[in-house]
Amino acid sequence: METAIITEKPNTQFSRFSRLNLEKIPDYVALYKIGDSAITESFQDIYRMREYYIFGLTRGTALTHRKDNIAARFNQLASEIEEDCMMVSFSTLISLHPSYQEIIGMSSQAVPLLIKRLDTTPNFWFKALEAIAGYNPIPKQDRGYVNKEIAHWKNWAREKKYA
Amino acid sequence: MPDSDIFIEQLFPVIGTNYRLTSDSDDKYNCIAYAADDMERWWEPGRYWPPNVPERIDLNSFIACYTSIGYQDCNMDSRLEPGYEKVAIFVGHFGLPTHAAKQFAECNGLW
Repeated sequence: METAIITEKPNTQFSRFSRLNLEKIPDYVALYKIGDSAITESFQDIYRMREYYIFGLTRGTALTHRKDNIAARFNQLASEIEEDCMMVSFSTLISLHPSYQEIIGMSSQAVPLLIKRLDTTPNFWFKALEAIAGYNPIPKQDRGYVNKEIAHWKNWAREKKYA
Repeated sequence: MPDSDIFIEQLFPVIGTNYRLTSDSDDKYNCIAYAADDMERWWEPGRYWPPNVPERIDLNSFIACYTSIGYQDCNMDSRLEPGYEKVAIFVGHFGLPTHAAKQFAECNGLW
């Protein structure tokens, strides 16, 4: 049986619908700030903080997921993110959500699911794809044009045999 | 377009009836783009961001973003001024920008 290591979901302060606003997100930024004061210097800082979050602030208990559970778990996490972050204006902030970190932790196994999710909530998932791919296939002139961004990611997934 | 949306009123409980729906939600753009009159692109550092503006999510970068397309600092004066179009940048904890809105002259200065 194939397994994938994912990070434990922390005992989060995020709630469901009632916590839908942005107010809780800075709590996580505050946690990041413990280890990194330059919280908005650049995206590299944000990514570095994210790493700190995953490896420094979670409890370190690794869970295993059977491969056939990945899709179910992914869909559960994605729905949580979509509900909690529906009013969040920046994909960078959405990517700080703990469930988002867990999806990134699924690594390449999440890619086909992320690609599929682009059809319904595209703006949520570009950051996860970029984090997993370690690469942004969207040329500068096409960035921000959502349909073009989707097309570039789908082309990338086809080239890499994910879809 | 309906006059009201119970979902919006649940999300923003103090909004009362002092709003109107102007369009359906659209994945093509976010509030930052809308305030900049661009309904074709999603504006965000790392995606589309105006040329020569630092790609950071902080207030200075967002001020520079709107300055680059012709806005000037109005010292937090939110009153409606004939001949001017204003945008507001909303900032959350730790000074992180969270939202932008533009003022509607035809609605007596509502944002």
